[in-house]
Amino acid sequence: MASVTLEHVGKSFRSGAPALRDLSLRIEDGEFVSLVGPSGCGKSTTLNLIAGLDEPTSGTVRIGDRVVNDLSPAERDVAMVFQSYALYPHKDVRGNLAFPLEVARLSRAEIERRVTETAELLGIRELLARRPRELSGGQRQRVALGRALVRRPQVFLFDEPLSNLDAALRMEMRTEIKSLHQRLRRTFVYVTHDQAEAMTLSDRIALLRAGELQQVSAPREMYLQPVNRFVAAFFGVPRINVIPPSALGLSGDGLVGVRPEDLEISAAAAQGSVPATVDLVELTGAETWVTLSAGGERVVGRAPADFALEPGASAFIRAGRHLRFDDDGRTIG
Amino acid sequence: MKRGLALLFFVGPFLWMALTSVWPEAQLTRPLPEALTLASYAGLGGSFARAVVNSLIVAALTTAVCLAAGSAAAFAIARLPVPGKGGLLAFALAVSMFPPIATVSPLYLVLRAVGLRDSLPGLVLPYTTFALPLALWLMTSFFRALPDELYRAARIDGCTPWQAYLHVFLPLSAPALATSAILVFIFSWNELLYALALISTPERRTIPVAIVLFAGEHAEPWGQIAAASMVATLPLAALVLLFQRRIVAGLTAGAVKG
Amino acid sequence: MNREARAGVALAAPAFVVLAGVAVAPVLAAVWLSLHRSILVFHEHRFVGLGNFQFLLSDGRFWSALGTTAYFTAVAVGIELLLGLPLALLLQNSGGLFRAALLLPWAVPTAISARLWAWLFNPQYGLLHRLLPAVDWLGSPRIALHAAILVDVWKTTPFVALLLLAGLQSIPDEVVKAARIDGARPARIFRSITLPLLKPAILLALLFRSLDAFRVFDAIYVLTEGGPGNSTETLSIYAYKTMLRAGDFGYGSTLAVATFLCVACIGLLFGRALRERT
Repeated sequence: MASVTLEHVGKSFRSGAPALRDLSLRIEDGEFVSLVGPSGCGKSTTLNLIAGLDEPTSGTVRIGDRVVNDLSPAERDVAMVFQSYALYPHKDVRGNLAFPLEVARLSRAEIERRVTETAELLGIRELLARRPRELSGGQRQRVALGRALVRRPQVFLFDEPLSNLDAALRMEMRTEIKSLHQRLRRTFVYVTHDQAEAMTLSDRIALLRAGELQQVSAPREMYLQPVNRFVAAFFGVPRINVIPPSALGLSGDGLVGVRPEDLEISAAAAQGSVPATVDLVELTGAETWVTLSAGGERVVGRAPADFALEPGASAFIRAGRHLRFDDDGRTIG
Repeated sequence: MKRGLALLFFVGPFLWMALTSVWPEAQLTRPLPEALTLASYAGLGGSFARAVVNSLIVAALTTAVCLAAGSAAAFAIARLPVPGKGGLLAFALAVSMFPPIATVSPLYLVLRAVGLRDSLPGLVLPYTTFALPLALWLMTSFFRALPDELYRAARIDGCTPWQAYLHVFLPLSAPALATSAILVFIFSWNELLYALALISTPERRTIPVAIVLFAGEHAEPWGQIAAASMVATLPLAALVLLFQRRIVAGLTAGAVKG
Repeated sequence: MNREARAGVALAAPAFVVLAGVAVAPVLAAVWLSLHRSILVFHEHRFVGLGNFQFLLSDGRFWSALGTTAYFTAVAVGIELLLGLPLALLLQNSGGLFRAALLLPWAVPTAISARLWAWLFNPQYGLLHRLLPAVDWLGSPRIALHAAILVDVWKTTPFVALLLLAGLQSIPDEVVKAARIDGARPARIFRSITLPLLKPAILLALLFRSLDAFRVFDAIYVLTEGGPGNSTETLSIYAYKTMLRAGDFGYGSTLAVATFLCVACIGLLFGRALRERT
């Protein structure tokens, strides 16, 4: 039983604005939760507080039923995978995997058993005698995962573990982490700035901004029902169009948000559509991103790959599903 | 050509010293020796061998003390939230620039009071004034260059800060320890003022003191002085040849970062 | 204080306790001693206030030693910088063996190099004497100090060159390439690009060397012991003789404290210049 609970957690560093303000978040046992947000939003700070690498200025951190505020990382039963992998350069792979177990004073036989088992699980058995500098980026990533796994902790923490990998490898490791979670059924807390990564991996996502929690939801809900303009804009590529309703022929005040895939573009006028000019057409492969201007606003729509209009052409656009924001950016419908 | 001139000026004197050391004493008045001899080396005797051993002891002790204290403090300053750490580094730098003459009289009196004045371990204490800041700076810049995540990883893997130092950072810092050791060793091996002021028993003299106080019965025994100088220079020449890269890197470590 | 900070203090403490004990406390003690008349062999030790300092101001030998020290520092460091720069440029394109050879004078104990040069200067058999028989290197008051400067230059120019070399190597290649693309000739590149970017390294070398040269002891003690006729006596030598030869720890400490203050002033001056640069 190892849920992670943050209750009214605050964290200030000596210089500057507080890094975290009154953060309350409960991560259930076995759940995969991603912490996302722009850089400096407090996601890594949150991870460090859970890990015990930092102490909260106020509030309570619990792992399971235990308050862990005053416990060192060693006493918290957590493991962590780092962005730079942070493998020990002077130890070979075996030494890296064995190190946390040696610190915990396990028997030599038990260490050997667990190291072998973990290496097998990750397919790095033939690498055990190598030094980190002799490994490729993907291999280092696997060793870093292994060093976390070998301890069989209750909670796994990930600090942007994939951002140093190239695109292809990142996809592969993403799948690997997902399947690992499904097999282990332990609690995973995953920090990333990559919204697609968070979407595909997580049971739930927590979005932070300037030290404040914006929304905690399942990925689908996060995308479809963002609580405010910031959340709406954070997820989705291309970004959601946020414009005055009049530009799209809609009534009412404030602003509306229309996802590019909800913007219908056609050559002929239809009911409820407004005229627009095609500015830019970008083929991405499976689909086309179309930038248009309408009523003095710039909007982006998503069209099939065979989209036929050229830049400069006239078109008609109509908003399908859309969100409405009040003057403070809150979602009101 | 330019290189040749530089070598002539900087290395030439050593060649003259080498030649002098095998120059028969009776032929020193000649422009060049007619035969070469090892008599000067043979004449050095036990007292100079004693000085070599003394220098080795003092330099080794100083190196051990400074590396132990310096690397621990460097790790703390580079990785742990020590209050006022920037000031501590500046303080160490300032100490290394103290003129030894300003500290020698009180140290003389204090070491005399505790019975360490005329002893080799008694030399180690004053030597730390220049050697410890050096080790501290070199080790700090090494530890600072390591990724921050390494320390966090060690903590997550269950290490206390002490264990992180002993099991991860200390073994990792072997190259920086080697550089510091070489430099500290050379500086301690070469020190004159404290040794001259604090050591009075001839059997406890270090090499520089022995060389300075080298005296013959009549005139200065130049052949023997040259031979002794050769003996004291050779280990340094070996160190410089073997570890040229490290020594240069260590000496200029502070210069690049400012 | 949390666990990390406690561990940090515990790890840092030994080094700083030692430094405080062997450096700061003695300096304070030297200041205290300088306020006393304290002669070891006579078992005399009494407080005289600023009496020693009063004497210092009227002590011609002190002023002469101060002048000698300042002259030695200025001339030696000046020459070392002037020679160090071309030497650094030379080192830039040289192999490890050349570098190692130049390191040798730096690595050898000053006591030995001074003895070595004393032998070269020897008025009977010395190599330099054979080449230039007219010059009485160590025996003439006007030349002896310059002989000491020569030894210092010989010993530390390689070190200065290495510091400058490190500075040269920290200048990004691309800046020089850009200047070449912009049509600058080598001499112009050196004057307008290299030299200004080298300024911090030059200032640093100046700082290190000035502080070191000002406390000069070994070379001069071995070469001349301050003679002939006190003509090469620097502050450190004068203080050393007063304390350990004459046994006058009170006035010796006064001289030592004066030396310390001079060094501190040089350090602060250059330190400020350096901070403004960077």
